[in-house]
Amino acid sequence: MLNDLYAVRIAPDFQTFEFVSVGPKGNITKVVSYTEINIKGFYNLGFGDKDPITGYLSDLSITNNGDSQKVLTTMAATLYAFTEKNIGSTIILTGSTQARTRLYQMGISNNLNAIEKDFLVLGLTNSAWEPFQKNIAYGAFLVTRKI
Amino acid sequence: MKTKKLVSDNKNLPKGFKVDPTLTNKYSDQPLFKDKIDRANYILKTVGLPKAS
Repeated sequence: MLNDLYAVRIAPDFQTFEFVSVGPKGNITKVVSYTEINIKGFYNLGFGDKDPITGYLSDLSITNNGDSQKVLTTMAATLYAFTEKNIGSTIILTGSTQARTRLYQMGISNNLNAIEKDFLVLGLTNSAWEPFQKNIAYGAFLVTRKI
Repeated sequence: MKTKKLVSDNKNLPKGFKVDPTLTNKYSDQPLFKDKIDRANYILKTVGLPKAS
């Protein structure tokens, strides 16, 4: 399991997660959403900030709240809760921008030993999925809970 | 002041995770991260699924 997390509220269907990032830019509500895509059992992981005025979610916001590691770790922890309830599911993770994909890549790399105890992680090269390796730039990631 | 009772129905949840019924359909009025869902579908359609090891 991962440490140093934000408290997270979970919708009863275990597909929507909310937590609050706290930092110099204030309290910012973050939402993680798992949505089943066209292939049964495959879910997209969506992640973004809630606009405090409109209530709409954006995955293009740049928060700079000084807690990116804690936010990433919390996001990763939602994988445990989601896959606990959706056994056998596969999650596809892509960044909304190249920079965010790189951020996800760093987050996985930095916690790879812990993550690989519980999850199989694949990375997308130009045309194929391969087991995740550090120092290779991937365009997307597939994550499956080990049984 | 009213407080909302959060339900913890699973001991295997990460520390600090609580089920909150008020999140039910909270974002059903907006297409959540549709661009990324479209991209995920496109990737899996063009690249295919990973080969079973």
